[in-house]
Amino acid sequence: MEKITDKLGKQLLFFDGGMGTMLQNAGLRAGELPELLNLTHPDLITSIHKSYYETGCHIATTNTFGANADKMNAAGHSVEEVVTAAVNCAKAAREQCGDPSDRYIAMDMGPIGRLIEPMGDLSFDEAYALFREMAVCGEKAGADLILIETMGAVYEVKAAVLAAKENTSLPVFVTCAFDERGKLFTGADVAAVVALLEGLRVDAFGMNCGLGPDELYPVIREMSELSSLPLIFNPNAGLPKQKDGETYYDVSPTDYAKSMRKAANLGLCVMGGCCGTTPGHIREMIALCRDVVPVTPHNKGIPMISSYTHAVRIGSEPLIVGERINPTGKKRFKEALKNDDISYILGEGIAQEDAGAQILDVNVGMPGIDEPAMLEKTVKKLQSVLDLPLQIDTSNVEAMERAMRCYNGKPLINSVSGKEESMRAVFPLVRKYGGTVVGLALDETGIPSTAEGRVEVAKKIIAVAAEYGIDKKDIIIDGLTLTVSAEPDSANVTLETLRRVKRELGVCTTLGVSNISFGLPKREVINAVFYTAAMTAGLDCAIINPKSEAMMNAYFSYRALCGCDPSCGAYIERYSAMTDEAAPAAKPGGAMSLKSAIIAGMGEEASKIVRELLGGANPPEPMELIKGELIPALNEVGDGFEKGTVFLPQLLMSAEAAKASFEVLKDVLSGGASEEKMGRVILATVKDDIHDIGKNIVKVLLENYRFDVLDLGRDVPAETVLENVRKYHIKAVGLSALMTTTVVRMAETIALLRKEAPEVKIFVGGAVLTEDYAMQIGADAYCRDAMASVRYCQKIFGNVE
Amino acid sequence: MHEINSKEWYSGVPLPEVLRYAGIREEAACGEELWQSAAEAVSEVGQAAAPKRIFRECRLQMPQEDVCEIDGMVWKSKSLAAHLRGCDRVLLFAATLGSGVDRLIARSSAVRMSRAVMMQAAAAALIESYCDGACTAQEEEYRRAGYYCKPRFSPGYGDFPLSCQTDLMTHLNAYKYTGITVSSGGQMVPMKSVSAVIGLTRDRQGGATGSCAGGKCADCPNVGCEFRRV
Repeated sequence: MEKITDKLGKQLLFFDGGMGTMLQNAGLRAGELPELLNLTHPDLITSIHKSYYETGCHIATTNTFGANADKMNAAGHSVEEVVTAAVNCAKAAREQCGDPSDRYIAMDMGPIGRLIEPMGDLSFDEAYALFREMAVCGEKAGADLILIETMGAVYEVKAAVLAAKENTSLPVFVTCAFDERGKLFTGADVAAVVALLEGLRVDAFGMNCGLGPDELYPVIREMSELSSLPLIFNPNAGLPKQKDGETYYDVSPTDYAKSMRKAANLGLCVMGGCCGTTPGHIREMIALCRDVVPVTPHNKGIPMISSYTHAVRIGSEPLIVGERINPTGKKRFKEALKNDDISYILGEGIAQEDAGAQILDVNVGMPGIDEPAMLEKTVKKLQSVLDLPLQIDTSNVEAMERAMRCYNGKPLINSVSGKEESMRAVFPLVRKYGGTVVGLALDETGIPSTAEGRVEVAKKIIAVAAEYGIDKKDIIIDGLTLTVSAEPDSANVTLETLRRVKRELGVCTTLGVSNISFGLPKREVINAVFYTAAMTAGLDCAIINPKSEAMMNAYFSYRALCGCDPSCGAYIERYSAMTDEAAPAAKPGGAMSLKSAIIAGMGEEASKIVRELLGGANPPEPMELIKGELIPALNEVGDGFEKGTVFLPQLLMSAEAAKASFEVLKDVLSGGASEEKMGRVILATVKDDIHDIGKNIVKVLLENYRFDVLDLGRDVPAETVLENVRKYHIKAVGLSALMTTTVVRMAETIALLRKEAPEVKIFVGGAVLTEDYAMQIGADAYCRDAMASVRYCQKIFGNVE
Repeated sequence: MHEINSKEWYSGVPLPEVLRYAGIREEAACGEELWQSAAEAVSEVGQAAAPKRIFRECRLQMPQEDVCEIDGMVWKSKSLAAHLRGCDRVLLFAATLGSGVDRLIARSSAVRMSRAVMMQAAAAALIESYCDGACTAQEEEYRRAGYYCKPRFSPGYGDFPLSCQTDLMTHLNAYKYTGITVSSGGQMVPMKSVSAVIGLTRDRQGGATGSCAGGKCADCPNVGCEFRRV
């Protein structure tokens, strides 16, 4: 039998239509598991496959959409049992129809039905394992390909594709479900899906379900403009409608066929149907589309990376890669890494996005750190709050692979060099996980001193990448910025390298711009000019500090000048506002005190005041400011909150203002004084509970009162709490639970702590808790709000101010 | 399955409601900044939202005082049974603002909790308002057929167990139409989601108010709740 991949793009291939629709017509009721019919009613399933094969379609999809262990085991069956029966039904149908050489069986895998972390509670590895089991059973039972379909989250797609590719040798097809916004449920747009799936090197992909062929037409058209791989189109028979409690679809076979014919002209390679489509729809579609010649997929050559929501196209206009998530030369960052202070790193990421970065470089390498674990953790945390594509920056291959595996999209990789060893290590990872890789123009002989030499290395990198099946659109060359004060010609060589790489090799470029000024005074001045020159020479991705005013001035000006900023809109938006700020109106009543700025919740004002005080003629002692202004301000707000005159958002705004001023003070506090803490407290939202806003509020307040908070996050098992209590000799644990169901978990956690760590004090809170109930489950204290938690901790640590 | 006709469907969300959800008990006592902050939160959450919902009409039987049998699903709950008394049909319902809102709140929580609290409040108000709009439209259709809709009754109300959530979502095929999933602990993800049972009755006096868009709190036994609106 000819492999289906050999036919892709040579002839138009046809999928079958809806399985669920046929089962519903046969009497399947809502809530029943259709997969079990493979066991109980194999003849029915076989007859459905047969009726589809008889229309002339090439691919029957097994009745295994939800045949994962999660669902099957709960119903008392094994995955293998159900999948084998399902594949056998399709095989029986194929035999009954004769001519098996033209008829394929797709092992169908739909979404698990639970979202992967951080949005949901399913781990990436668990999702992977569920898909692996299905895929392996499908291959063993005799399926010809794997169809991953109706996907609403790219992370789940990635888990499923890796599971299929790493554990079977079957071709992998993927279709996602787009809505009327042209997005998946989790927000991914068409380009993000294309970037991810091309990167993962599936055999064909496209869309199914969601909407009808007309509504999806603009979406599949956009996909056809971006994709270099064969496309699949399996829409529903229109939009779902309801009658007497049943969902139905009302686009007729004739109309469906007409709409599909229109879509076929986009150059699609595989077409079929989803919900509401029947053998009638497929038969008419095949009759009308049979003669359409598919377009052999060709390389569109569009360089793209992606996050889980959107893709970033490289090469069409200058892009900013934020460089600040990097410990090199940053004391505060190193400290954060050492103390596992992820929230500081997240803050750096968010600040760079707010400042205008489109991509974030992530580097956590420093001596004495478990870089693979830290990089994986940082990538996961960053992608839980930010949707910018990340540039994974490490020379540690293990760290690189772990970060690429857990990354939710198609990353930029920083970097590979022209060294044989580097290319041998990095290219297989790019081939497997997808990614665009930064190629450093250096090799075993060092950094070539001429542009000619660097272009030669770039050529070598591109050629070797091609041997691994990596197209040059996925290579961006770093022309290497060397310090101009040490090498007078270095800027010229770098700029010339950029020009030649763009012109002669036709690939995109990147530079770590600020290296140029190392050792020079007023680095920003020369950095900005070099940055401008580099953009003129063809720099696509500038690795810079987006919080630098001078660099952003260069960026916005260049974009306005080179025609990337229509009507100078972005430029005007940024700078017209600044004119107003240049002459701030004097505040009535003169200068504000630090205390009143904190009480008013004005963070920027508060840190400005601290800076001014410290920079003034008679700078106060930092501890004096803390004791004389910061703490009294917090106490006043805290008292007001307890009395009901200050409300929660105001309490938090003051807390944030205090934190901002404390960050400024931290820099000048000598030695250990800055770390003087009130005691260490664990906070956790209990097992099964994913609502953590209450716990997060308590955390902010406790930190403000200088408690050292170890935040274990949400959905935390009792054992994990105990483990950390023991490991860090914790005196107080705060537990939060939102629902009546999870309060039970809270009781279990308390019971475990009472038994194994009886000395620990436990305070609890959450929407459904009451004082009585808290006592009943054995807590030491019920804290009705965040201030109550602070007061309780102050009491038990004996440091009421 | 949803329709959002106006791009700014969320602009009508009442700000006092947002402030109340943010823990501000007397709106009159809070300054201009908080009103402003509430308005911004509504707009940001509204833009991040991709609301979706699904209804499904089912037959209802009550073989015992405290048992509801809905399309073969058997739920034991006194409060649900009491709520559905006089109904022979129900609408199962689920709605969500989508995962973009969860992400927005997570992002704010990482750097500015004061903002996160306001967004959380805005999201709560938005999902309520979205559900009200959807239910009102649905009720209009049923009115023409002579039915009244009772207020939404969700798992977790009274003794209607949260463990019914999974059944309810499966029955609605909620993931397919709305993207709502249920975690292993029985919680809905995206977090700003609502599920409910809505009784259909021919008896105008059958419901607390006879309308699913108002008086939601009337039937709730938690009379001490600070968010109670009756």
